[in-house]
Amino acid sequence: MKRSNSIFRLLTFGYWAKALLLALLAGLPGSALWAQEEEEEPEQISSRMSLSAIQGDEDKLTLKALVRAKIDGRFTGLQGLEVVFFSPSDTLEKELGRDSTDMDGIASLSVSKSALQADTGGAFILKAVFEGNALFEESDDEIAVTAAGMALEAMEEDSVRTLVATLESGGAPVAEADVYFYVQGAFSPLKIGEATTDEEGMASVEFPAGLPGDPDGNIHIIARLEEDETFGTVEANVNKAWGRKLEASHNQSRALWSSSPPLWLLLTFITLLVIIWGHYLEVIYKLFRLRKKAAAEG
Amino acid sequence: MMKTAELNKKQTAILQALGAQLEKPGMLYRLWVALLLVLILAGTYGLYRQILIGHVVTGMRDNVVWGYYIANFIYFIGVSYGAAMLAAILYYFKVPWGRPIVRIAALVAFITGIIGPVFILLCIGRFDRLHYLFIHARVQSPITWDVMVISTYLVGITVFTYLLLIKDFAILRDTSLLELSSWRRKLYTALSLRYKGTDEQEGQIDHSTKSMAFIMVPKVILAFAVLSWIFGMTLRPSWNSTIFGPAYVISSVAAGIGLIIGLMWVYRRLYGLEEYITGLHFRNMAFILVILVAAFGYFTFSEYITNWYSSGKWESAVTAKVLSFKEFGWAFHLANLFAIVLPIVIIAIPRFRTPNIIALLSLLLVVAMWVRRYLTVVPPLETPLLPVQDARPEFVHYSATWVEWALVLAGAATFFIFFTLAPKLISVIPISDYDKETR
Repeated sequence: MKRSNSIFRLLTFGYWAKALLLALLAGLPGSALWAQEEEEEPEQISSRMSLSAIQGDEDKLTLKALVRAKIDGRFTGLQGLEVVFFSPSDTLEKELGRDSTDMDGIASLSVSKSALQADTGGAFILKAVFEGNALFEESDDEIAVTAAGMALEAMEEDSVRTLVATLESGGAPVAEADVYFYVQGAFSPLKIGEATTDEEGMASVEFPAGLPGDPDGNIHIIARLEEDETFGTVEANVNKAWGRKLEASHNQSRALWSSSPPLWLLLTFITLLVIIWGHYLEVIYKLFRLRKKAAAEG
Repeated sequence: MMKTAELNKKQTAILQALGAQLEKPGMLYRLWVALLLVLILAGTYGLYRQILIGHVVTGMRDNVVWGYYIANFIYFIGVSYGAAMLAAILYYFKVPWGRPIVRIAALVAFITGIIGPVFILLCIGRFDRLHYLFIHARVQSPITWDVMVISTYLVGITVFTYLLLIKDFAILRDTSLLELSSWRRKLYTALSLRYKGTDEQEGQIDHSTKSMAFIMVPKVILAFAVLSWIFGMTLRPSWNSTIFGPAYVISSVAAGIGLIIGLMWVYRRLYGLEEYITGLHFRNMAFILVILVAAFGYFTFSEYITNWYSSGKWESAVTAKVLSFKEFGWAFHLANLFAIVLPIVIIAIPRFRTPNIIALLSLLLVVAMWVRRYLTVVPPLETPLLPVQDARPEFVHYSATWVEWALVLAGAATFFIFFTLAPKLISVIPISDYDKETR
């Protein structure tokens, strides 16, 4: 079976085209000719998974599974792999859903906490599995997350702006937890402060003045307990018009970089085209006339 | 009797020399065409793979985004401009020895002008967005200028070449010396626009051709400039140079003349045209070549010594790569030897100015100029201003794949097939130009 298969491969047109080209090109410095498209049988590479959970507003819990492998000596996120998320209990593994990893190697899934079942200690057991494929070995990760919630309040008193985050779990405040405060930038969040929760579960920072917002001055503010052993990541968001209003640029003067070109450039461009094409048209018109005249004269 | 039907001795001789070609193809000819077609088919298969799988089948990657295709594009289009310029100047000034050369030069310009732009299309990853070049054109972009200039140029060179051929089409239509098939007669009748050789018609055609030749020179300089500005206006080491344009113009005209000399030699040998394409033609072309090549040598030296002396960080990096024998050194020095030094030294010696030696030098020059084009494109792209970290080797160093080789060879094969087919359809020596000879 295998032999006939290889003969079949030899007979494909691509093979002959390539063989012919190689023969013609013998002697040319093109080592890449050979390198291209030769399929090697790769060994399976071991992959590694890290699962994390983010508890957001209200009931939402987002699972993020990062799948990586060591390629050329460094860990690289693997794109396009299917990850299955489970909530295992003593009796059965309940599948929560699946997702493919993105270009950074992260698959994510949002679930509602009320649909999850907590174990006897009050924690959710969560698991993510990549089942492996021809290139990469399988990998999985399991975490335990205790339900928690965070509330974020933005208060203004005597022109002092304060952010207060309150962290609770099971109705009781969580003390001695480090909370970080951010504002969302165009690409990534910018840290503006950090504080530890008191006995009432509250942490507060002063909001800095002069941050740029959108055209209406809106700023997206985030408070976050990060990768806590018990709770995972817990975050809360709020929008406030506390920023400087961003002035949209309506400056559309003619320039190399604006949408309208400098006048001299436009005129030069059009003038040149008109001269040359006008000239063409004249010559072509004369040719038509020549033919017509010859036809009339017989 | 019409003027186009009564030929003098010389015209009859040309027609008889070339007539065999127009009548029937031979066996060797068929084999040659078959070989070229196979090469074109192999290229088509490569193109099919490229369209099916994407540009990943080429050696072009993130950093080195241009490779053989662009090198071929600027080479062919440059040769085309160069040949057009030579044809226009020789025609406009009615250079006495230029008669047989104008036609071959115009053919080179027309044919390479068609092949060149095909290679820029091969660089395009998204053919479905090709029309964006027009509907989203920005007057500020050199790419837009180039699209306009190349299409304008192509129309111009087509009209110019056609004008040069009309009188001969009429002669071929009216001749009784050749036994031409009826489709040929019909074709020549249509293409000759009822030209009968009256003084008025002749004057009009000459006037139109002359005015096309006149406008050709500034147009070609503009076209050259625009293409070189695509490189020159990019902030890349060794591209962002004011001498880029002039050096490109000079070397392309030289490569164009090299190709014309090569074709003159081939046609002369193949069709026994020694009487019309003489040693004088070769010598004169060689002298023009030497002047251009010397200027190109000067520009090259000026460019590299300026970079070397001022020791700009990135310019030095490119210069070092180009000069290093571990990287592009061999290609660079050999190309300079064949494209600059050898033509000057050998043509300086009178006894070496024979058609054979001049043709051989031209062949070497044509190849060497292509290597210089490659060295224009790739080493600067391998030297990005932002250092690349943790990139895979094929991202940093370009090497062409079989797909690119196949398409480059297919391009060369297309060039040859055009020149093989051309004498089947037209007379490569302008018969009509010899009408003032003794009857």
